[in-house]
Amino acid sequence: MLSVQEFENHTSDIHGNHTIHMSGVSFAIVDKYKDMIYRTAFTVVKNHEDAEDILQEVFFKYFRLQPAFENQSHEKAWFLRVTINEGKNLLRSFWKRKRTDDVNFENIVQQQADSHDSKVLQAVMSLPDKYRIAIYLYYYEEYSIREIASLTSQSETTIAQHLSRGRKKLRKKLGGEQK
Amino acid sequence: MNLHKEIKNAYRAIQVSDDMTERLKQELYQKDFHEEESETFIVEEAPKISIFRYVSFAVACIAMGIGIGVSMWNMLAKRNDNILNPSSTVPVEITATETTEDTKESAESIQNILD
Repeated sequence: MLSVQEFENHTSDIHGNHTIHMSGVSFAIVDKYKDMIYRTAFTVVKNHEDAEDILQEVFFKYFRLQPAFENQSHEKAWFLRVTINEGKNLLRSFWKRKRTDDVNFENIVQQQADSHDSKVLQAVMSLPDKYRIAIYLYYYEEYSIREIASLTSQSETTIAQHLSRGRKKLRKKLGGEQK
Repeated sequence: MNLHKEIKNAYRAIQVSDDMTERLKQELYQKDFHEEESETFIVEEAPKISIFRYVSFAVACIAMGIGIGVSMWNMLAKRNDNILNPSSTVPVEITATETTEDTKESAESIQNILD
């Protein structure tokens, strides 16, 4: 059997692009959303192995259900919502929760980024779940409070409160340098 | 640098590696989604509630039911007891009707009669 990379090269030779359709599976969407899903999953579960499982599960769900989207933002929101829910489901399991708590984030984060970015990421990761997700969606994905509220099925007041408290904790952890 | 830029930079470093992408595509390639398609009818977006929550809820309901049942049983039993045996709950107060002097007097009067 051809590997995916070989198949991709083979297909791009024929069609002149990297969009692959195998058994109805388009890998263009995988390339488009894989990093976003992985980042979101990592933010929720704070663990690379579980984030990878969630990444796989989200795409399984997408290809199985083949949902119809109104537009790009709807599509992105669907992926984010499913990823957050998958992450929360995973965290609900007692054993997973215990395992995640035992993980040494310092090592994980240091593998990913340089020293300063690592410090910021570590500070974000040390925040409680609810603040961490709100901070990630607001600052990285650049969603508004209203959009985050709709994504996480919470009220706007709650999200605003999470953001404010998360920011306060983050500044405290980073030594009050940021504005 | 402000918090916004710092968080953006920090998160940018988290990416799916080429190996992981290859693995994911391989998994997706091997999976037959059409087979599973017929089994799925509802788009499941809401998080699932764990079995532990259901069990703890059921245990709490049973415990509450037992508690209410026992207290009602006790209340009814007490009520029936009051109706059937009213004296049983009335405190008996023993009052001294005769003093020792009275007893002495009555003893003397009996002795006098006998004499």
